[in-house]
Amino acid sequence: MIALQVIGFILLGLVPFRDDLVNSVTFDRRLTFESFGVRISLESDDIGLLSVAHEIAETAFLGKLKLIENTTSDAGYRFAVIRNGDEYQLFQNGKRTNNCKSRSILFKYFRSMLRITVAENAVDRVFVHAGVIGWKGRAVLFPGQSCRGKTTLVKELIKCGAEYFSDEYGVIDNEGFIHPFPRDLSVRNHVYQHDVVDISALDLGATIRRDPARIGSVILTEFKKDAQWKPELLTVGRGILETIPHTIPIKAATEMSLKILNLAFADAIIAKSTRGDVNKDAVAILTFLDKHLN
Amino acid sequence: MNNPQFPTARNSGLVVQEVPNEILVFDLENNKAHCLNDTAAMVWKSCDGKTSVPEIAKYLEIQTGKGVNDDLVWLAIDQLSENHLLEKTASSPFKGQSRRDVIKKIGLASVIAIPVVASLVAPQSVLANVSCVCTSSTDCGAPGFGTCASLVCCNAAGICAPALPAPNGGCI
Repeated sequence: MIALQVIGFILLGLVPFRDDLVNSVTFDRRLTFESFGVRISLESDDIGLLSVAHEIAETAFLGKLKLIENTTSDAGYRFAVIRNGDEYQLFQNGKRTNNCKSRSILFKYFRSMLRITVAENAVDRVFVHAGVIGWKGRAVLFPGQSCRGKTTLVKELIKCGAEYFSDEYGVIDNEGFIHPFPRDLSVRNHVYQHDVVDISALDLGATIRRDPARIGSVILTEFKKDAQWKPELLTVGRGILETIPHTIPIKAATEMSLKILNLAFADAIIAKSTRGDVNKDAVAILTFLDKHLN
Repeated sequence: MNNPQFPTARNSGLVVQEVPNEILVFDLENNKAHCLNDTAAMVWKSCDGKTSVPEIAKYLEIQTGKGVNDDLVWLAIDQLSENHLLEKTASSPFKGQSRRDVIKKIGLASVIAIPVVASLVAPQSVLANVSCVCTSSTDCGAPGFGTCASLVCCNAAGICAPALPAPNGGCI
């Protein structure tokens, strides 16, 4: 309801067609917001869809989003969601990129695209695709791809008393501090692992970290059946090298990414190992952290 | 003009970050990242096109206070060349020998760290980190979705993965 009121307040009349974008389409309902220094416009021809898109943006960035009331100013990135017959369509920067009959799937995709757009273009922040916990007052980063057990491990570690920072992004500022991004954990269904449900960290009994922290350790690990946690210590350079594939702005802002990773990893204990059974290896990882984090 | 005996470090299309005792290099043209250990970094920094391999070996001796032979410098140059970090490909003097054999030989004689250039290919697209969400099966074949559970099926949950066991479970 509040979102509808805000949109109602912000709505302009027809948005002029932009000549600079060939085949580009704009829609007459629009709002603009900024998150992590990235300005994004949401558009639609339907106020209800725009309202849903706005709510999704709010949750995608955990409320770290500022509406820009002067919508005539140009946003760097534009997303539009419209309904066309029995399907929903997503436009990015004026070009149609996705069609889908399921509204929920289209919005799920839209949420991911929004997040990745901000993660790639954030100002003075480097987003690393990683699980992050707090232990002994320091942050512990677990960079890794999707479906390699990050959330399972984070969930187990917070059950053992670790603070929850994030199961998706380590957000590192330009002084090397890591900020919490405590979205709900995306937990895969035990029966069918590609079915994902979101669970609040609070429901798992976690303490959610609110303040930024220095990185105490970077753990490069992924699940392998029958593997065991046998950490090999890495140098800072090797640790950064292995984190590069998970560093979202590495291509868009290479110099800034490397500089910030260097600052953030400078005092960290960096270790690499495969791991197997999560119950056993979560304890082993915490024992390792106890030994190395003073 | 570049004689491999006077190797020249490449400096265009690279982003260089010095870290303690190492150098990180991101190659924007080849989309690769490299980590040079201390020895490889010292050799790379000495490749100014005017300094010969024996002179680089001497420089390393002065810097480290330890004996360094030409083969150790060549081992570094061989790796730097292979990873396109020199202006021109250097022809390795280790013809017919595997790198392992060369390292074994040098390792026995060397008192400084064997030069190592560790490399990896950076992802082509940030979509690699999108958690495999999709709206149609076409998405799953796009660059960046290579690690998803399926490259051909966007299932009913909107994930590039095999179809869910449910009615209207998306693609089969």
